[in-house]
Amino acid sequence: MVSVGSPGEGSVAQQSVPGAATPLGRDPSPEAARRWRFRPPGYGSAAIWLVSGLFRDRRSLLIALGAAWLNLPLAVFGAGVGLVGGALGGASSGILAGLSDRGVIPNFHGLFTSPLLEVGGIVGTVVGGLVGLVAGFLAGLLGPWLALFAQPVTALALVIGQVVGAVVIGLLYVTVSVAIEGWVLRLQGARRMSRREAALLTPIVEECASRLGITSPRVLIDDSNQVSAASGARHIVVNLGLLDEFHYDPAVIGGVVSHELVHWRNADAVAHAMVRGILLPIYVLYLLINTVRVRIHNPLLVFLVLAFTWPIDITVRRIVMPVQALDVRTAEYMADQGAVLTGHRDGLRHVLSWLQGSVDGGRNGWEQTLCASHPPNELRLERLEERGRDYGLPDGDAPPRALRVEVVRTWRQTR
Amino acid sequence: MTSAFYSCPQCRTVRPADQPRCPECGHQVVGVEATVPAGGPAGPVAADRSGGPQWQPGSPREPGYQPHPQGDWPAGAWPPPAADVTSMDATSMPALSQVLRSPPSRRDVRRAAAILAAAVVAAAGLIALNGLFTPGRAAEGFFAALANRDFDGARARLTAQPGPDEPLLASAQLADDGYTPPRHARVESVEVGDDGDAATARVAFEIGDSPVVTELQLVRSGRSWLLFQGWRVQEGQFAVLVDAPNATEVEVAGVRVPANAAVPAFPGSYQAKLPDNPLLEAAPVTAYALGGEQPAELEPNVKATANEQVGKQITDYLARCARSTELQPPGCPFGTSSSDTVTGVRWGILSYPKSKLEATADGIVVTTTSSGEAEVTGVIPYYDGTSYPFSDSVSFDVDGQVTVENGRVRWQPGE
Repeated sequence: MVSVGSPGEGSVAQQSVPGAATPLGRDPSPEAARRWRFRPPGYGSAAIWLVSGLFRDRRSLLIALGAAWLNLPLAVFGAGVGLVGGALGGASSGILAGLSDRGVIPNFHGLFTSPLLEVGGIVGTVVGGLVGLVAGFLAGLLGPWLALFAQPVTALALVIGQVVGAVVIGLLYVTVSVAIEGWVLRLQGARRMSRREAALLTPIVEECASRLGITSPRVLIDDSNQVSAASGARHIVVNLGLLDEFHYDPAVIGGVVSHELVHWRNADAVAHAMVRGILLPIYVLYLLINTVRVRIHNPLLVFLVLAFTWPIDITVRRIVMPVQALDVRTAEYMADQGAVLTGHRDGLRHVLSWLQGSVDGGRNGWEQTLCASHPPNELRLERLEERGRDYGLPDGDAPPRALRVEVVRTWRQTR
Repeated sequence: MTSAFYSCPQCRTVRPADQPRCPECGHQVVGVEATVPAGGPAGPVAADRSGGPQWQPGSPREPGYQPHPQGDWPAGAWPPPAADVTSMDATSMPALSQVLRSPPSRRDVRRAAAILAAAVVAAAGLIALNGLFTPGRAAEGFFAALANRDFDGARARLTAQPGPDEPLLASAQLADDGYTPPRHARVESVEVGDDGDAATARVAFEIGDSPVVTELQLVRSGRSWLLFQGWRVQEGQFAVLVDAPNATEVEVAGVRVPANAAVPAFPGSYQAKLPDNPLLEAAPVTAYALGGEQPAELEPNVKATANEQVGKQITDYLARCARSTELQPPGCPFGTSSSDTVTGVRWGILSYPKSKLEATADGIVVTTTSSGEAEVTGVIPYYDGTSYPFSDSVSFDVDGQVTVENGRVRWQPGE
């Protein structure tokens, strides 16, 4: 068994930890972990832990609430229809005004000579489109409630009922997600650590947790060769690809594990599950739409599905996801700082330097930028810099990278 | 499968991926992969920054190995805990509170639960209160007020305050025993119109021992407490109609109302009779105000006393006529003529006509059943001073209309 030592005098474990007593009553024994079902420390009870998502990312919760329960898709539909209708109306008005001025068509006693109509087709299109967009959005958002204007109590009770219902469904979703997280991870390919994996990883995890002043979650291994690790509500999953890629380098593992420990301790997975739970009514639809778009290769069928469901697709992908991604990326920066606290700044920098670009892939297009779950790696590296140390380029932490070449002629052919 | 080449991390010589040792400098690379995984090129050189193979947990240590003070890792592989760098520039070391989020406190959770509970209670309360403002409740309140003879309460539930031409709605005399209010009313069903502003309540109740079912029209009234919109009973949907030939007024539950006309009334049954009258009398009838035209019919009869009075007036009238000295008494039912001049005319009633009072469409009229006979005598003088007697007898009838003026029966001879 490898010993990784314990934090010395004045370690971060003895700093004040929000929500947890110093030194947090840490009991790293497996029995204690099992007893607490791998709930992160600092949460007064399991109930507080499960509802913590309600207190986290209020912006995303509000957007999810509006999207799933308060007519946001209808507003998107109204905005789309208004945009197209307004643009067409504005364009035709502008064109008619222009034709009228040139005498191509009769002016009908000055019908087309108002200043607004004379500005031409392009401006008419823009103005009409914008007016239609705003008017359609407001009509879709407020229309159902205005229809209930004569029955204000019904409208008010409906709003309250929907909000309460959304919260209850969100909490149920979180509870179920957390409860079955282990099964889900196993279905996705995660497994328990082998003896020798545990011999390597457990001391590192416990040491990092100790330096953060927290307990440890359950660690699972995913045999995927993808270079990544993940954190759930009760588990940390380390990909075999990460271990292999960095040759079981304890510094790298320590950096990544510290990062994931912060995610776990901050209940990021719980917070994100809460948003998904509140979004559930249209989240399920969105998943179906996405499945059709990705899996079905019949363009006519895809067109038909999108023709009827585009407001939901736009609501989730263009409104909800970017807003939620803001909090997600903030959480990533915070988790990175966990590696700094545990002394694994360089280990994490090493991984980030290797990954290049971003965990989400290339940063272009809507989903790679606004919806990205991780900030750009270069900016993460910047925040991981130690004051007073030179971090010039090329990055000293970056591992030598294999050079891709293409074989155009064999040695035998050359001779 | 893609063939890939890597550059040696030590001498940058390009080498095939499946060769574990660099053919140029002999550098040993650990964990060579022959193919490029989907997630990106596998970099086997990550952990090989020192230029040689890295120690793996469980493998024998190199000669001269000195354990790291903080663990059994090779020197430099395991960084010091963050506590060792707390003396560094504070800006490069995050505070623990910046990394680990503050979980919600029990107080936060309790407050959120209280807000949710309050929202649920408020919604339930609103719905319960709104139940007091339904058409059914308005109908029940209206009938309850009637059952209690609370006419002010009943009037307050009408759409408009009764005017002077609606004495049955305005008069507190409806407390008279002549009015039987509906009792044991219960709303069987309510149907709200499409616009939500009108409703029809089907109400069952009893009048006396008779079960009755009727429909009550209700309309929305103004808001109460900004939120609640009450209902009122449409005025004028119930009316009392008493047909009383030759009567201008009838007395309904002690209140005089026009006869032969629908008079708005509260639902119920009413005793209807003729007001005290020297001419006519009729047996009381029960009139119902239950919606729709349900006229009650009074059958007026001429009072015996009225017959006597009319007979006396006719006798006096004929006596006045008999005193006439003209062959054609003005305004009298009898008369004669002669080509000669008749002097000393004297009329006498040989027999009085027999007549009766009849109620006709034109009112109470006197019709003759047996003609009377009158005799006239006189003298016809000649130019030579002589004369000879004149006599004649005529039969006559008496007719005319009987009315009541100033509380007295008055017979008016016909033309």
